[in-house]
Amino acid sequence: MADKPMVLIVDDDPSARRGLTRLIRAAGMDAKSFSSAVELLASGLHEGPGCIVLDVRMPQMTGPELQEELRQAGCGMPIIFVSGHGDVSITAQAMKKGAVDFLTKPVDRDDLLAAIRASLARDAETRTKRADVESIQSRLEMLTPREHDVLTHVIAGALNKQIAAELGISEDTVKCHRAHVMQKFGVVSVAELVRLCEKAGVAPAE
Amino acid sequence: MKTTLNKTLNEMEGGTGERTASLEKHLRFEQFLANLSARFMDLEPQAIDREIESGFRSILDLFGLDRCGLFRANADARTACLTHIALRDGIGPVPRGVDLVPQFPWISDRVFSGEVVSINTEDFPPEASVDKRSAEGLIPFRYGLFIPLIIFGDVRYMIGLTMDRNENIPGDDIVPRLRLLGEILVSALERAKVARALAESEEKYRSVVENANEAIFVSQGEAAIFCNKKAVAMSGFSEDEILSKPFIEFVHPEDRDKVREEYLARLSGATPAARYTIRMLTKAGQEKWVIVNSAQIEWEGRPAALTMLTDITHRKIMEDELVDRNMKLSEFQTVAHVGFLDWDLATDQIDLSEEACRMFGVNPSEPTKTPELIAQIVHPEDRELVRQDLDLAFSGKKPYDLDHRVLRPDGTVVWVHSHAELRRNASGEPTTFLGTVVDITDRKDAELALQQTTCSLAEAQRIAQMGSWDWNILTGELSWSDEVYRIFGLAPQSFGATYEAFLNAVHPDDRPELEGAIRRTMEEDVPYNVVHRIVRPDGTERIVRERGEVTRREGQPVHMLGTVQDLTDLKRAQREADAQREALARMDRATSMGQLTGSIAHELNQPLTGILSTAQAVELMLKEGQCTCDDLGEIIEDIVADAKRAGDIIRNLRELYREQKGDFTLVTVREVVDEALQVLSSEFVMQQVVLSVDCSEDLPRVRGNKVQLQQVLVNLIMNGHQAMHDIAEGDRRIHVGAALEPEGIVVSVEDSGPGIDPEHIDSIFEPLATWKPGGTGMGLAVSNVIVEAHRGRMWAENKLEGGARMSFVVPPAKEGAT
Repeated sequence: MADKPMVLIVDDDPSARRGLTRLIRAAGMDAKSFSSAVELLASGLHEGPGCIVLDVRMPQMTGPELQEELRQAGCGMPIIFVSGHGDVSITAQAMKKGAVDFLTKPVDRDDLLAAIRASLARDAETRTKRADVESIQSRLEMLTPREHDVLTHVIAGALNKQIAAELGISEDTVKCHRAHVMQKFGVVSVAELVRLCEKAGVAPAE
Repeated sequence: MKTTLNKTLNEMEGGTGERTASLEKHLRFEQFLANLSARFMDLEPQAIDREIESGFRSILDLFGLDRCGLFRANADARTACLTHIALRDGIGPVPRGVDLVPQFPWISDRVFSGEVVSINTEDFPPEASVDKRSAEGLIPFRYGLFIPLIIFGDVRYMIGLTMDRNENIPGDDIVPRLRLLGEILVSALERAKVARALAESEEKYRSVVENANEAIFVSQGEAAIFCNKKAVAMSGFSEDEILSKPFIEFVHPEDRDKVREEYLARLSGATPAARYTIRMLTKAGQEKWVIVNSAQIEWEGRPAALTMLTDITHRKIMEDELVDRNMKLSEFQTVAHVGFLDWDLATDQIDLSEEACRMFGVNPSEPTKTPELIAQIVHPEDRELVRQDLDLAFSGKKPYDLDHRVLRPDGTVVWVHSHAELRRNASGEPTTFLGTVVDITDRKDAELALQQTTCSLAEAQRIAQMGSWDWNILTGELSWSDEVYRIFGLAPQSFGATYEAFLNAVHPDDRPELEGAIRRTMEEDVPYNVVHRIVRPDGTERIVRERGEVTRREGQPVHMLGTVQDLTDLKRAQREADAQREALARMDRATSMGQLTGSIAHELNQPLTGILSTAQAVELMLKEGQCTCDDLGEIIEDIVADAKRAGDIIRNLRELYREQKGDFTLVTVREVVDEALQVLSSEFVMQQVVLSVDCSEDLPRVRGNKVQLQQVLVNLIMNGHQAMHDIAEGDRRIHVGAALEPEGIVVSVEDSGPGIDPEHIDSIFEPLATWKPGGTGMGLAVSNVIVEAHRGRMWAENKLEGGARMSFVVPPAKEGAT
């Protein structure tokens, strides 16, 4: 997280590519440019924080095609499209697939930097969220199957007695499992437990 | 900048659909007109009728008409005779050569007043017709358009179109176009008429002339170029001898000055025809008395002098003998067609010879006639003339000598030449009026035929706007036909023309070329044929075609004869057709550029992005104080390069839209190909088309219009490119090739699409022949028109290995040749 974000620029036109790279660097950000989608894919996926400024029309592989490729590869980097010619249908599709913004060339600095900032913020947020979920997931993995059963009932708001009846075990056993769960999650209140489970997508028992 | 450009481009894109329909009509008609006027400029007269009817057939197809015809109108008689017609298949025949208009009074009255008549009715004949019965047995029509063609203030021709139904009738805007067409056709017809009239008049002469009783010579300049059998017989010289020397050498030396005077008077137009008596010298050195009849005529298209000689030697001898010995010569008279009359003034009785009786158609058994009887025999129209000449003869002012007609009792008319003198007794009292009559009907007929021919020639010259001239190089004298004066904007025969006066009327810029051509003609003895401009006294310019050739004596040029034809109206028609074609080409460019809007905006926005981003980066860098001089240098270099690139794109675009004249220059094929591909480059990138080019740098250049040739190539490439719509992206290939072949420079565009449907392959150059989605159907048709204007042709074929090949061929420019 301490890594400085990197802006990846993909444009086949040398004028546009050079200008955009220079502008982004002048704004104090790290930037790396690629003359085609294929070149970007060949460089290996960027792991750190950042975003992609992507041209629409390019030989071999177009911008939207690269977007699809990255999505399937599980790369969640936000994408800002820049295009020489606004095309409603391409714009709509790109936005539907999660593009942050769609700018028309020539791109104004303020619009571009604002879009990049928004992308980086979204990237940071995604990364934090993903880190949270990952830590909850690792805690969930520490639970025994029985403890997991008890957890789903607890977050559904059931009383110990109800849980015992449902699972066919004694109320004391329930209390013991529950204490382990709270301990493993490192929480002291049920409210806190419910919030974490919600974040991680754990469904309450019926 | 971007917004304005897009706006303009969008506007161009808009309305393409509606425009296409009218564009199609325009295109086909203009294509047709341009081709037709080009073809008619130098058409052989015998091909004209066929060309006109095939032209009408095109109009028929173009507007879906049933009948389309040309009428020759007679404004005085108010009749119009159908001369040319084309009919749609299945339409019943219409007879040519029949006066149709009198049967359509409700049309002819208006047409002859110069009005364009358009009839569109459910009811035939229309309500407007006074008498419906007059239309019985006529071809009924529901739609008709009749356009009078007015020449020199008279309706001389008429174009008529009819349809048997009221659907899809053509709009009024075709009227000016049909008029233009009519002008082209009529001018060609009149030129054919001149040619035919010349041929006919020549034939007419030959038969009359060969068998005439007079010796006939035709001379151009001083040299005789034709003589008949009688001339050979009369002079004793062979035909070759006659043709080898000037006419004047046959004249008795004492009479030569008289002949020259008469010739000059005739040239100046003072006396169009003359008659006088001179002596000739035969080969054997004998003197012969002859009556000379001379006239200016046109001979094989050039001015000439016609001279007819009537041998009156025998008559002279006979007259003398008669007076001296009072001999009877009836037998001889019969052979010579000479009759005598002897008017005894004392008894007031006239004695006629047997031959004279035959001529007058009176009974020879009553040889004595009264003057009253003879007076009645003179043709009523000539009686006054005869009386005047008699009075003059009796008063002694001049001998009685004239041609007049005789109206025989049986009604036939004979021309006679009468010559008589008053004889007096010793005391000076008139006693007898003694003379000869000669039957000159044959000669008069020849003269009359000649006169009519000359008249119709002059008329035809006037309509065809073609005049003739004759330049005596030795004296510098130039004689012009009336039409030449008219072309030069002068009153006919208003001044004695000279070569200098003629040169002054020639446009100063064209003088050197014309003088050069005339000089070459004199030196090398080849006819010249130059199109140049003249300036009329009122300052207006005309374009004329001038032809001339030299006649020589002993190798020296003595005469130059030629014609001048006013091409201004023809050229104007051609220019209008050219302008229409250019306008069409521009509209097509706008349409195709509309299709390219996206690529162009894309193309232009790249360098703009470079410039804007770089400039804004510098702004930031300066603010931060982190900008070095090295950085700045590099940055400015980039900005300059990008700005130039943007400028180039705009310039290319402007080239394509330029409001430019159809000027032809020397064009390098390689440049045409390169620049067309530049415009299309981003289109290829976007559509993933692989492009290959095979065009040699050292192809000969082409005389043509670069922008239009580029347009053809862009159209062909776009066409191939659109044909590959359904082909997988990796398999879209375009190959552009240019090579020198025996036929010319062949430029071809190949694609890897599905090929052309064999059903369409013959019609793809027709307007609106589109079968691909989003096609306007105009591109290939406009391209075809452009290629034809470059004297080339265009074709389409399918490759064996799949895909289509569209090619055109244009002739290489003749460089180095002037």
